[in-house]
Amino acid sequence: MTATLVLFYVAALVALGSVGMLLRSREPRAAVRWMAATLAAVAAIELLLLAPWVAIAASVAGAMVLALFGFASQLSAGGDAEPPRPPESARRRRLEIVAGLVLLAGIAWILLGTWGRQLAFPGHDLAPGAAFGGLRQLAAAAEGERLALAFALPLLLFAGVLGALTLVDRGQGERG
Amino acid sequence: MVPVTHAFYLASLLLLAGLVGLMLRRPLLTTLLCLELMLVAAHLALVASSRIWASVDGHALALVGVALMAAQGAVAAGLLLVWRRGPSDAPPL
Repeated sequence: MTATLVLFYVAALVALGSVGMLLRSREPRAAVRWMAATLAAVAAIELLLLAPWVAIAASVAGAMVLALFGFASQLSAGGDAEPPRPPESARRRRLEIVAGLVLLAGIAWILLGTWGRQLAFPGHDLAPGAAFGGLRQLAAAAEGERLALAFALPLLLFAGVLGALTLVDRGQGERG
Repeated sequence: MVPVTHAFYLASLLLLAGLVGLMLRRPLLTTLLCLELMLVAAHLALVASSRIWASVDGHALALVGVALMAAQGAVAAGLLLVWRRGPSDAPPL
């Protein structure tokens, strides 16, 4: 077992553990913290898969989004606790559990049935000396696929929403 | 070298966890975080596919996914702030 593989398993365990804690957490701020740990672990895995620029972009975007969510959750006064659930019928709950178990059994069946083929495929060999995942290669791929608009539109939307929020906040601050 | 299939297993598990959280958890913030988690799982799968075929096209698509995640986060944060100031029947945070 190589050091890379050990790092991959450690990062995968951290990601899955943080997701488990995220699903269990009752406080919004704790949920944001566990999501940050998940994003960091996934970025580490992307680095190990030779995608450094995707890892960097995902870390920066994740940090911005989590900062926004953290800010929004901090502003919510008294909204921390999970509200009480409405009473559910025992029959519906049993049906949901059975449906979930059937889905999980299906996934387990697919994974175990094709285990021999899926065990450890490392991917096709890279060309010798090629800087796989480098910035030039990425730019060439984005240009070839005409992805510039696909990059620009979400980022413009992001900037636009932030600007709109700031303007609304200032307007309300001046009125109030 | 990292087995790419393992990365696919991890991406599937993350996607499933996000889906479970989306269906079972009621707080709005946790729901939005679970949506983000599903996007993260999708771009991890794109990166793994890219490594399988030794082509960076998947990386470029993953970057589009990351930009989309940022935009969705901004819109979601805007919704959170608007609902915080809105009427009392807004969804719980």
